[in-house]
Amino acid sequence: MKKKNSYSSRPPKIAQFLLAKTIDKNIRYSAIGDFDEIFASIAKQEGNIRARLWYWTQVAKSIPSFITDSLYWRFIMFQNYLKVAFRKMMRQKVFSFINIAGLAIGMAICILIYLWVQDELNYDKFHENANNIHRIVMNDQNYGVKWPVVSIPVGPALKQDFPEVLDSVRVNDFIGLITYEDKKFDEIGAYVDPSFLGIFSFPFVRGNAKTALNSPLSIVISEEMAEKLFGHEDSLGKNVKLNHDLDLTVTGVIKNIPENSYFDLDFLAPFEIFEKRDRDPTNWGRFQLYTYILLQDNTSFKQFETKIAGFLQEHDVRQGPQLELEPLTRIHLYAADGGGDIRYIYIFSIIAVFILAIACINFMNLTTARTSTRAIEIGMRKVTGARRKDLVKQFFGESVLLSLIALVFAVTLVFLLLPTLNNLTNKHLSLNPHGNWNIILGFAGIVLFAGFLAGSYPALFLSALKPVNILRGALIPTRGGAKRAVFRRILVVCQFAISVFLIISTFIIFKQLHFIQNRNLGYQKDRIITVPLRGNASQQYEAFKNELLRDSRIRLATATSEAPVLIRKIHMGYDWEGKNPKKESRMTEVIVDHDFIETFNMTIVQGRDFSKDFPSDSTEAYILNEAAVKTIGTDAPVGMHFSAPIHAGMREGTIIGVVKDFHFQPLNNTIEPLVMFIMPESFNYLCIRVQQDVSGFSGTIRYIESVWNKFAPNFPFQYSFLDATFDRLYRSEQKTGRIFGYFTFLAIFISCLGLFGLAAQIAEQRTKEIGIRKVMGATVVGITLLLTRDFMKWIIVANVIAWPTAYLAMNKWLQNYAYRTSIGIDIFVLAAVMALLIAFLTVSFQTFRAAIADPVDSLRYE
Amino acid sequence: MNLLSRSEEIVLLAIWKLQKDAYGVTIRSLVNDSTGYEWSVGAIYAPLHRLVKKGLVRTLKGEPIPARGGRHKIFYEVTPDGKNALHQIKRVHEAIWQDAPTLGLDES
Repeated sequence: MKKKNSYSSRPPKIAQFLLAKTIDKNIRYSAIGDFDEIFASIAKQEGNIRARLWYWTQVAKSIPSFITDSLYWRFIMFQNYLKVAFRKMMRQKVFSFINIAGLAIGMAICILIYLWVQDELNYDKFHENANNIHRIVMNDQNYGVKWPVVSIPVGPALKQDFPEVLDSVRVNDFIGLITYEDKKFDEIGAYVDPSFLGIFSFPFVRGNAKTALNSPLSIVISEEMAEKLFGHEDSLGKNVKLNHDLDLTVTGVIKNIPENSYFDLDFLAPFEIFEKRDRDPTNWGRFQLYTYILLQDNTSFKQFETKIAGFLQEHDVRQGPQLELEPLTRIHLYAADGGGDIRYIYIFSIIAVFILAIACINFMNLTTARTSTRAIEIGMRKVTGARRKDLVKQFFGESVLLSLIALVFAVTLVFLLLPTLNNLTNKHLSLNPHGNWNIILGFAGIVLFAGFLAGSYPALFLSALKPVNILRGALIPTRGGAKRAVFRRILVVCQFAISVFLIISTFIIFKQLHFIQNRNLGYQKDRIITVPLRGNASQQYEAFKNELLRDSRIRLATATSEAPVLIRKIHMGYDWEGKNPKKESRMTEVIVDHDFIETFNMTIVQGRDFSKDFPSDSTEAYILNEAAVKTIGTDAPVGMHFSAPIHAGMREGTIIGVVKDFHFQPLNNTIEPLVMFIMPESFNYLCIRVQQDVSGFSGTIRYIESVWNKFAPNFPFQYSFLDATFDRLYRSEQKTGRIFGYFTFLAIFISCLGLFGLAAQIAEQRTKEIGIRKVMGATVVGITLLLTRDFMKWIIVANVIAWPTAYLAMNKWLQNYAYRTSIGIDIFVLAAVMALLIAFLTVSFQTFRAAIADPVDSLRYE
Repeated sequence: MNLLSRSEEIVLLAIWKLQKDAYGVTIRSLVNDSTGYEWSVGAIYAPLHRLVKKGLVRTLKGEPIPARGGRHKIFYEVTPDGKNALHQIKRVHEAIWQDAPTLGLDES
């Protein structure tokens, strides 16, 4: 009974909680106890209901005073903080501008880099099965060849043999000519198994993904292509021609493949067509197509990889290569053919962090410099009752507010700069916070991070000062002051070290680019036009070439399997006189016409060039480069017996000459052994050396086109300049160089803003000293130097830190190139001089102004 | 020495009067009864807290009591300093009231 009684005489929980919240915590314990006791006595005398009523009345009574006490005053104080913050900002406009602008630029760069990195990291993640799709890679350890292609039977066999493989698809991409009525377009497409549409998620606009590729005479095209071919007509059921020899019916239209996909295909044709045409579709050793498999959800791909390593040997004992797996989502950044490069992701992420660090340091430095003049305000606030907690809140709040303003500018800046970035990277990045929570979280993170960092000094250090000391005039305790100055200088050193690092890196990147572009490649690459040979232009090549040569503007023309800027075909199984049979014979191979060496201005160092005077040249002559001669290991290669594997078997012949080594691959690679011979059925390109006339090249190009139309009217005329093709090889380097350049500029700019502010601050603090020095007879130059010297010293320290770091980093980068420029001391000195000069100009503006000031003014305020 | 505010004075006197039984509830009811109107929570506890801080009153923890939700009673006790303060107040009052003309009202 007692229990029940005591239970019933408990005050309501919610009311008690509210009451506890509203009572000052010093008296909370005893007051709540008292209230409970009174409640109990009322409950005993007048009943539970009255007691509850009384209790609630007490709560209701205490709420208004609670609100006025805490919330109202908080609001008033908040208003005051805001007002003070804005006043400070307005009073020191230049400072505030520098402060906010620096941070805004830093944030903007960070956001831009973040957008880019996010885009790069998300390649092919949009597929529903993205994490379970893997590409099969063949790895031939005997020859050191690793390439993501396998033979025709591998895909279906894997699916049959392993329950873990849900599906497999073979993909053979090629450039195909699609014609519809009078329209003809060259597009990148692929022969794919019907399972392609089930494994990858490419949404259909028209047609049915399940059945679209079932018929061997169907074709699926992209939305963009549908519009090019058929305009607004319905594409389903239309008949198009592929390469003039196949009539296919459009059975589906897919949405354009998004940019962040490794695939870049505009049509899909059934794989059956490819398989039927293949000479030897059951051969396990002809590595020629991409194959993807879809693994079961819970299969570990690492484990599965070990299971299939020896798969080829199980089916065909002669096969040496092992199979490996490559996750689809890693292709873009990690695979050799992916198009992206994980190193750039790292490099730019690091730059983003660097620049944000510089900007934050700046922000912190300037805020700190400014707040030390606010000591009096702190003193006043403390005297009138502000607790330390309040000051901490105030300063943190203020710097978060500033960084919030910076964010607004940063976002504006991002919108302005995005088109440039998209242009530079060929992407369509956009700042679309819709559904992109990461960005919003990132923003909040940056604002809070920068705000707290910048606010930490005044909030934690200044707030601890004793008001008595502040107001008595001992503004900043000297020991703390000295420490703070050192700290600030360390920050300046860090900033400039980063800047100098970036300057050096940029210089070296550009030096390497310059080196690449001006290196003697061993052949002439300008004034050469390449035209892919197709149709009758290919079949009647000799006639086509002779027709072209009739024009005086065309000097020379030759045909080749690959243009010399990039020759990639590597073969094995060459044989020569005295070859060690155990030795591997891997060489790069290029098929050329008689006048190839002449057209490209290459040098014959031994023997002779191909010549029409020797009819046997077109069937049995070989020309090797110097590297190949070294592989063979002879001093007198000319006249040696040599043979190369071709379709029909071995092509027996002799070496007739040696060509001087030329760079047929990007300068990242060393010059490999190369063998050249004539085989007209493998000509792919016509290379034409032209002369400029009054109209530039346009007249010549028009002429070539008219000849083309005579020979191959049903193929579009295409051409490119060899030097442009060459430049494209180094596009990523050029882009990197340019982006580095921009970033370096901005990093320096932000650092200078900080330095400028700091110099102004110090000049202001030393006004009195300068005045006295002048009175004592110091010269303007002397004072300027006095104030500047200190900064210069720290910039030199920054250089000392940056030099070895930059040297190590850039040396590592240069290792990517087999042929590289030297890292001379000149670059480092130049970077140092630049940094010093920029810093000097920035600082001396302020110091000079301080030095020329009239001492009467500076001493009068005493 | 610090002058006490009127509410502090009243509360201090109330504690002295209650002697061993001075805690929130009794102090409040005594003050309410003698002044004739209901003192709010803040009006009692804020001066109490100030008195504690000034060292005129000290707190003693009593036994936990079920009626208080298992909380301890917090008793208040006047310290020697507090006694001095009361003395002084009394002296001042008496000195000022001495020889003052009667207010002409009911003296009770």
